[in-house]
Amino acid sequence: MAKSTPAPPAPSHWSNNNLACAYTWADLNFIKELDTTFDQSEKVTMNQFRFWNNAASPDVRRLDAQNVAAQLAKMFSGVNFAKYESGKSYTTAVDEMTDLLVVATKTVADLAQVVDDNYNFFGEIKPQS
Amino acid sequence: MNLRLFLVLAAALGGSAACAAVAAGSEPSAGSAGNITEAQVSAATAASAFAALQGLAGKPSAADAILHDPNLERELVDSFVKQLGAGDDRLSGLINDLHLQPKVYQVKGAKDESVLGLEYAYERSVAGRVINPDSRDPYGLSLNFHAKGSVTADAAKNPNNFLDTGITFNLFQAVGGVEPMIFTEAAAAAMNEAVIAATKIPTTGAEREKDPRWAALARAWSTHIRPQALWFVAGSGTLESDQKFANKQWTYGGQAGVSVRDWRDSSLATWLNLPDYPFAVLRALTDQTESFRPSGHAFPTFIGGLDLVDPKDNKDRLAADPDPGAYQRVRGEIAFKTKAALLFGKPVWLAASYRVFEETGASAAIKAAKLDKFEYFSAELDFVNDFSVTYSSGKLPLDRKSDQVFSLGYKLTL
Repeated sequence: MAKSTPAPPAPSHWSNNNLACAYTWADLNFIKELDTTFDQSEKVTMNQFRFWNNAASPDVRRLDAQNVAAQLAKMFSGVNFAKYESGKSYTTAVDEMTDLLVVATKTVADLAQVVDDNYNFFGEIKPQS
Repeated sequence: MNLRLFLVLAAALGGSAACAAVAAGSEPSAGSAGNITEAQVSAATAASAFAALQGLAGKPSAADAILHDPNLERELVDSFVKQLGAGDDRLSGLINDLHLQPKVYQVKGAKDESVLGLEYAYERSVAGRVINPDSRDPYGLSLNFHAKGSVTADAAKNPNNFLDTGITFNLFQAVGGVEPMIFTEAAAAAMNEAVIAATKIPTTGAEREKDPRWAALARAWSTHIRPQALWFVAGSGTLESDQKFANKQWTYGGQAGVSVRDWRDSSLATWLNLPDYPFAVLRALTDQTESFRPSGHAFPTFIGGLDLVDPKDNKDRLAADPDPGAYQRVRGEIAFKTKAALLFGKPVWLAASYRVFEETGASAAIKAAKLDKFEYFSAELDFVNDFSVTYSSGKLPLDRKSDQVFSLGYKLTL
């Protein structure tokens, strides 16, 4: 297999002009999974979240992560007034957030990207793909 | 790879083929696969990790060097993972989804001072569906793949010699949590403005709570929130094995679990969290800003299950009892994490877990060989700067012996 030149890192989407980033940060801080400013949060990793239990089995860690993801999903659609993107649903949002929450090295910015993929916030203008 | 890491690898591995590939940047075999499945990648990654670590067997001095230099350990694993995924975006993506954590285990009473290990966990939802999307508490259905375990340089010294790979079909529901507010365009626009304003608050913790921009948001959301319980029931099929796959067994069964959280700082429900009372006392004693109050974030989480286990490839078990017939096993886990105290102005977190696996109706031979029940306890104190101390005791299924292990670790960022 031929080696390819590594692609340059993608530009960060972390900005308070991006409603997915703003709400992800606000909701995580509201439920006390994080205690960080918006600017500090971009590179915070999942194993720094309050739910992360290193002593537990991956099964328990996933269950606790799923609880956090379900609460975030309820906040996004219930009190942040977001709608699901086409082809997305409560289950895809919870599952995709949970899949990311259980990876120690993923960041809050990565989580916000998953949120952006699943939700369309009121007044949000998304770039045409 | 920097010079220091190269020298340590050269000294410790003495030309180990697997790690030579890492050092030289050549392609590992897993990376050359044409069509890579998740199972293959997980198995290949674990096997490569094992192969790389196996070069350290019997070299406690190398493990000691890494133990005393956490940065060095981080560099070693970082380099290993990057080289493994080099040149294949799909493989890189899958490796990035792995939870990898290097560990140095210190087995109580062992002659060798320490053994280097690597924990891995990969989980991915393959498909999902909502049953009642208009409900406040919808049900979710999902199909998940998982691969998890730990490998060490010397398999015989692996204190957690238990790999678990399989699929699970889940039904879950989160009951409670935040309740929906009435949507109007004006309310949504105002909420957007309020959240963007809150992102500009430069403080955290109690200082932020006092900021009117945050207080307005928190007040609006807090009036719509209740404690939340997420429960699930699942059917699963898994392959359990030891690190070398010398002993393995297929299991089929079901499990259920519940995770409860009250996201509010104070409520009547938090007073039901009895296990957190001792730590509430410690927090109140060490943190002047804390009053005596159990935490709603720290309710214990429970999982229980019933499995049918096929032991026909479990050599150790067949040596004790030649009956290859499937047997029933119950299992359970309770886990708990809380802020234990404030030390030098920083929180110290305590995490603990107890797991048990017990065969129902085990034969006298299995009981005599002590293969009918496996218990495992683990506790971790998590200090500042990502440093942690872990104590574990007992054994998991397919472990040959019960160990008491202290391990030092830190969180890995790739």
